Amino acid sequence: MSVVTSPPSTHTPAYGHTGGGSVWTRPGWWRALLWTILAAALAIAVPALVRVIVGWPWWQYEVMSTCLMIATPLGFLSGIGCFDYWGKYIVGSPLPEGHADHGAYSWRDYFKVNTDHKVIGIQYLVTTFVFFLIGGMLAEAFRAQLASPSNTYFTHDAYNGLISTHASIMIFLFIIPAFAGIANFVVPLMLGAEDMAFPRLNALSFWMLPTAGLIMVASLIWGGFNTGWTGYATLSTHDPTDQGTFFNMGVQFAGTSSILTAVNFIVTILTMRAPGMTLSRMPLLVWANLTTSALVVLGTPFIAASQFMVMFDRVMHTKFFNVADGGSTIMYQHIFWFYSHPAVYIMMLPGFGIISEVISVMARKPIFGYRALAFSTVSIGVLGFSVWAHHMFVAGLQPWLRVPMMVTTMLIAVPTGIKIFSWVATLYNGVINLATPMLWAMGFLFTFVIGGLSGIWLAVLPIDIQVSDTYFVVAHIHYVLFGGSVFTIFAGLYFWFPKITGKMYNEKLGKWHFWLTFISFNATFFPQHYLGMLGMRRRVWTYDERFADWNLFISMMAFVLGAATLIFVYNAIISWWRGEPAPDNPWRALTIEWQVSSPPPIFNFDGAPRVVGGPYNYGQPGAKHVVFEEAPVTAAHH
Amino acid sequence: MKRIAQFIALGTVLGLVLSAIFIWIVDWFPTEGSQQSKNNFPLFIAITYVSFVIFAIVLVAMGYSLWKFRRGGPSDMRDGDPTHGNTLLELSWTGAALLVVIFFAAWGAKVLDDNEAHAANDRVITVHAYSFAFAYQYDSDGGFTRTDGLYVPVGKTIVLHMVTPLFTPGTKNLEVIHGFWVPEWGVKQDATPGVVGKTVGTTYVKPTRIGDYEVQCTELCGSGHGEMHFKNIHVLSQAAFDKWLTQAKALAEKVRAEAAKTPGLAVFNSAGCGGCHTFTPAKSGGTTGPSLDDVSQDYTRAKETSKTEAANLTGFIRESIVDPNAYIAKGYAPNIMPTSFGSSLSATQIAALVGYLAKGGSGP
Amino acid sequence: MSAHAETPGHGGPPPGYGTVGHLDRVMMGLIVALASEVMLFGAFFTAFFYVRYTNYPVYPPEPFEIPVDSTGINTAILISSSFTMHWALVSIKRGNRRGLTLGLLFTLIMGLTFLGLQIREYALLHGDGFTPEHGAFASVFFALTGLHGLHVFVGAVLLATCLLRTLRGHYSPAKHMGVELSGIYWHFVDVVWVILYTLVYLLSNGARAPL
Repeated sequence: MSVVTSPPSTHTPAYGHTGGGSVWTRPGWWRALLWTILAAALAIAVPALVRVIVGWPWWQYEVMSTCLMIATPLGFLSGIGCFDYWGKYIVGSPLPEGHADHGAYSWRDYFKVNTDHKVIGIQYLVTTFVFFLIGGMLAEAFRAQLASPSNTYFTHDAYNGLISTHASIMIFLFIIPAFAGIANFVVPLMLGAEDMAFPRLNALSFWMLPTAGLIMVASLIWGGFNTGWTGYATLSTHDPTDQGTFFNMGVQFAGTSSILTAVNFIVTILTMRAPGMTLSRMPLLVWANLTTSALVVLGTPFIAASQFMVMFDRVMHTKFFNVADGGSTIMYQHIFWFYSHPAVYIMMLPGFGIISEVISVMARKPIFGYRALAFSTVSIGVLGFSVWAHHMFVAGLQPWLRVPMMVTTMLIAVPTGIKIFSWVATLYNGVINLATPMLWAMGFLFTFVIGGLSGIWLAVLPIDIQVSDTYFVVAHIHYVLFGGSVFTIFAGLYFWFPKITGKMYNEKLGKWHFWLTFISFNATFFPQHYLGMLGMRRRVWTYDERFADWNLFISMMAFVLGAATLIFVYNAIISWWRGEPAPDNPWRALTIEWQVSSPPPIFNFDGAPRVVGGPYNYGQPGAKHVVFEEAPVTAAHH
Repeated sequence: MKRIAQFIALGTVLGLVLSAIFIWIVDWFPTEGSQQSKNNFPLFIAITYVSFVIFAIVLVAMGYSLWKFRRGGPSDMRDGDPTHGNTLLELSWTGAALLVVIFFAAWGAKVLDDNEAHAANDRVITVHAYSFAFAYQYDSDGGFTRTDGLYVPVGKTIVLHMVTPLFTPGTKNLEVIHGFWVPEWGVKQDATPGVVGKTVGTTYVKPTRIGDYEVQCTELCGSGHGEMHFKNIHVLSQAAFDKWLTQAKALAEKVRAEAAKTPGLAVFNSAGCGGCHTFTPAKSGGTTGPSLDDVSQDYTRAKETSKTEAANLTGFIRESIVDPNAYIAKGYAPNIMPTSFGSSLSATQIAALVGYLAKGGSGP
Repeated sequence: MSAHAETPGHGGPPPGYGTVGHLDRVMMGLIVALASEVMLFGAFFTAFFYVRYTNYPVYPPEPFEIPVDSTGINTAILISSSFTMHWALVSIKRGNRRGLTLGLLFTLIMGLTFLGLQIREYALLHGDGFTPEHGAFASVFFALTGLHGLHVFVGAVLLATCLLRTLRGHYSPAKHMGVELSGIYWHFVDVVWVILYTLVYLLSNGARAPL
């Protein structure tokens, strides 16, 4: 596995690599272990002391577990080194050499706090994939239960725990951060920037992710939190002994990670574009990430607030959602969905950006309707804040809110439709290369259109009343999140695999992965539309006999889907380790990331990039997007 | 342009054929059991046709392009046609999408309105959902409650208020949100804790088909969610319903009279004691806890082993209700009986219940 | 010093690269992050409005009284602290170290006073039985004021850090980003408080506690 891209002899990293001090005092895993244990001890000792002074019994499970869940991640993050530089800066200690913790010189660097966006991107992608596999195994577990209406493999609470953790892991620990990972690697290169605006903040954002993941996965030891990922009050507030705190706190860390990354992207995209890259010469992936980042910054605080309120109700006996004492359960849903609807666009817009890149390059044609695609991306972002109550049509909403929310929900179909039609139009008159990334893009078009169209049934109120909370919704969710987001993640991973790893993936295995996934995915989820319409509700461990045949079929197909994913894992590992070395630009693309080596040099560019044209001018002989100029040699470095 | 017209034409035909297959052969609409379901059907069919046509047009355009414009092999280094867009085309498909969207939004709003049509003198029933069953309170017919099912006459609109109690009956635990769904009725509404008529949901249904249907809870409500479905929704002919209603009112009156005579029995029933305890006068057969027929023997045993400080039988019964873990009968386990009856029942109720049990069911 | 200055081509960005107008990247980052914080307060204000309009036509509910006047004094203290903060910033821009130090010191003292008076108010309310567990309005009240108090505490930490660095001579008229950022953060905290005080205290229609 080749990760060294610069001759190491000219660079002697001191800090964090061979650094001074013992293994217990310099940033790294040993210190992380020590500081985590110390933090845990404090998390128990301090509340215990306060409680004893006030006169209460020192031990209280909910208080201690909540404090533990706040303190141990902070102990870990400090120990591994996320705050070292800032800490030293604030107290005035001598600072380590500027790029000491930047760049991958050995495989060990991937397990450290590293400020190179390319390293962080890879860290994100590998981590999120591990969570994808965990979330997938949870799904196979409950699909095994659902294979027959008389199975009793799990207790009812454990079953509810499985479905809840499956969704939470997939949403917060896979899809959202996987897109952040791809963007982290690609976007600075695409902009012609040396790195992100705040590389250390970027590293902190990454390390918060396995922290959040551990918290959520740890809940499984106690049976998992069993409220559904939506965590409605009062199911999530009425029993102080359930495991809800794992979800409440896991979301906080994942959310903070997400927000910090978004801040980083907004500042990077707005201030670090190469000279000549006007907004209308930005690749659509950049437009997508800019819009997504705005959604994250503005929306995520609402889910944070909702989970704090749930935690307070359950742990501190506040009355936010206690109707007997002036609270409201519908209020939870409003606050929760105000984020969670934009969340689905957070999970889709970066994918749309990826598809624009892949289709344009692999059809050798300018993207059709660039301005409309950029505009529709931003409109979806804006409109996305106006539709949240369509998740609450049967919840007992204020009746006057329903029709306006139906109208805004239907309107979002328009910019989405514009995108689909534009992508198809890009294919027409192209010269199409059906390599694996393009296969995923085509698969995406197929499945996302189905997912989007099933949204019409769900948007139109009277029909929604019939299909809400049934398997129809489960089908819709998976068509847009798996057939949508995950297909685009795979498209992006295969497309940028050569750039990230410096190796070509195995095309034959890639095609096998695609076709097996495509077929088993549709076989697993299309019948669920039917089941939902007919009367099978969701989040149940058993069902009526008449649904048995279809459920068995779906479960079998779900196992094939799981197996198909293993083909990708094998391909990724074997290609990264022993694949054919990749050329700089295997797809003959115009965007900036393809104009440097595969993988890129540690500091991205040897010359200074200057953008001289649009990013999609295929078919125009001699058209260039970027040229590289001799960089001015200055001693000062920002 | 000609090509686009061809895509649209072929796609439309293909779409219509596919949707016809899905609608008429696959048959994925539940049996029509209400006016609401009937109102929904044409809208549903229209969405199906339009969606399949859109899908087919996209598929045809994609399929054609992938086949006709595929590259000629790995050595084919050509680029495609450098078109950046076509304003007329883009405006057209934006406009078309907008029209489809407005059309269905308008139709949907109209159907919603039709589905919620009701008159001031329609029968009102409040559905009480709790963990894990439904109870139906006939507000328009005197306010009696049935737990064995929902009985309604065919052809008349019913107003259904959906509510959950603030606390799970018999406990101090907050009750959670449940849902109420009868697929054949096309009607679904969440039951939430709150004030009926003000902050909780209401839905309307006009059943049009006599028969028995299943109600399902559609909001995850805990460990019992999977089992919260009951085939006890009965749509009766007007005559059969009138007969049932007379009987139901009579039964309700009888129970009320009995409760007035025997308030202890009323508390015994409303607090759900019979679910766990056998007590012959109340005709209950629960076996989770000790039989209450032997309550005086239990008191003697408890006194002998000094496990209770109650001075007399009445005191012992009271203690057993408000502090169940003080004395556990032989062969039974602690921490099973709820410990909250002391606060969830009023002093009057406890006194009545204690008296009822002490006198072996013969009063007060 | 920096080994990679010798790496060919990697000498630094072209002039003008990395800035947008007068706004530095770090400043822009803080403002975007503050937008996020505004939304966090927004979520709790949403809860406040929802609870207040559905269940509390009169707030605070009987028999509680809201200390509008004493908290009004606290508000005045916090608003004044924004002025001293501004004075500190203007001072360092002019090279007036003493002004910077005093300005930061007064701002910090006023901020801590605000926190202290807030804690006193909590204790008094607690004594009256108005605790977060009391009811939904109380829960929202303590969540909002508590969240704000937490932000004031973070602001105090920032100010203390600036003060420490000032005493060590770290800032200059050309380089004082820490003071600029702390200033913006502090003004944000102040503005949020003014909105909170208006909506929750001034517009309350229930009983008011005497001074």
